[in-house]
Amino acid sequence: MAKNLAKKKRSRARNAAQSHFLHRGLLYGSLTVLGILLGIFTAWLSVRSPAAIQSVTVGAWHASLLSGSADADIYTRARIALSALVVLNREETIYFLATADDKGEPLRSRCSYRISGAPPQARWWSITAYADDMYLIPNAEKRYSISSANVALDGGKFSLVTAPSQPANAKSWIATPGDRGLVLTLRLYNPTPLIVANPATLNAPAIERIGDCT
Amino acid sequence: MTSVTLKTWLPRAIYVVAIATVVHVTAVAYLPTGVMNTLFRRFPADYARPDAAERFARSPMADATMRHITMPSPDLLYTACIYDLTHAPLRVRADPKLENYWSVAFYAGNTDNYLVVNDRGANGKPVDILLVSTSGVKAPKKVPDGARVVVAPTDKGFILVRMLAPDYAAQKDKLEAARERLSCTYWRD
Repeated sequence: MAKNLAKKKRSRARNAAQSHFLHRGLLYGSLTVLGILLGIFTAWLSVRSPAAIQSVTVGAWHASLLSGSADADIYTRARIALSALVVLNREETIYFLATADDKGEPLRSRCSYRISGAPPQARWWSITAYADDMYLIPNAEKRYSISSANVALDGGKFSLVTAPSQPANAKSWIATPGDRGLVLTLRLYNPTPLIVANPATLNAPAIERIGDCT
Repeated sequence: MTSVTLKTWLPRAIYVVAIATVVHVTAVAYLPTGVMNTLFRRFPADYARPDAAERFARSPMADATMRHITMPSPDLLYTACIYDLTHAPLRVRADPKLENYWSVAFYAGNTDNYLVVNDRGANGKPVDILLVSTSGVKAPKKVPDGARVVVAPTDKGFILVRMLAPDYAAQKDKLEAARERLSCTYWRD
C-alpha cells in the first residue's frame, strides 16, 4: 500500500515536472518568436525611409554625406541599398532628394510643381522624378528628367515643371502621371570642391506647387 | 504582488528585447549584402558565367521598365559587370574616348563604392585595372603591362560604367562605339 502511494507520488511529480518544462518551453518559444518579429519589424521601420541618417538639408532637399562611402553606418547602407543601390561617393556625385515642397507638403505625382533657381554648382546636373518606390514613373512621352544639357535658362536661372500632363507654356517639363508619392532627385556630377566640402552651400532649387492637383 | 509580477516578467521582457536587438542589427547589417546578392542572381546569365568571354552587359537607356536597380538615371547609359574573385583576378579596361562625362565605378559586396575612375581622372588615357582578392586567393602570377593593381575589399562585387547620354538617339553611334572599347574579363595568366 505504502509502496503504491510512493509510486503514485513519484508519477505525479514526474508529470508536474514534464508539464512545467512544456509550459516553459512554450513560453520561451513564444517569446523567441515575438523577439524575432519585433527585431524584423523595427529593422524595417528603421530602413524603409529613403532619407539619409547623416544628412544635410538645404531648402526642401536632403543629401546623405556618406552615400557609397566605406564610412557609412549600417542604417545608411541599408537605406541606400533599398532606395538607391550603387550610388557614387560624394566626391564623384552628390544626390539630393526631395519628398516635400518648400512649404513642407508631401510631393504627389498628381500635383504640378515649379522647380527653379540658379543652376546647381556642378559640371553636370539633372533633376529626375521617381515614384515613391524609387523607380521611374511610366509615361508615354518618356519625360523622366531635365538636365543642365537641356533645361531652359532665363537670365541665368532655370525653371522646370513636373506635372501629370504637359503644361501649356512650360519649356522644360517632367511627366508625372498617376497619383502616388513623388521623389525628386537632384544629381550633381563632379560637384565643385566647395559643394563637396560643404553640401549645405548648394544653390537649392525652389519647389513650389502650382495650381490645383488633378 | 507587483514585485512578484515584475520578478516574473522582467527577465522575459529582457529576453525578448535581447532577441529583438540581435535580429534587428543582423537584419539591418545583412540587408545591403542581401540586396547585392539579389542583383547578382538577376544578372544576365551569359555575362555572369565564370567562363564568359566578356562580362560587361550592356543595358538600354533607363526607362520606367527598368526595375532591377532603384533610382536609375534616364540620362546615363549603363554598362555593368559582376565578379567573383575566387574564380580569378579581374581585368577591367575602358577607353571610351567621349567628350562628355563617363566613369567606371567599383562596388563591394556590401554596396560600398570603393573606387571610381572618371574621364577627368583618366585624362585621355585608357583605364586598365587588375582587381585582386583581398584574401589572396587566386593571386595573379604576373600583372599585365601597364595595369594598375587594385585589391577589392570583398571577393564578390559589381562594376558600373556610366556614360552621359542626354540625347541617346543623336549620339548612339558614338556611345555604342565607346561601349565596344570596354572590357571586363577574368585574368587567367
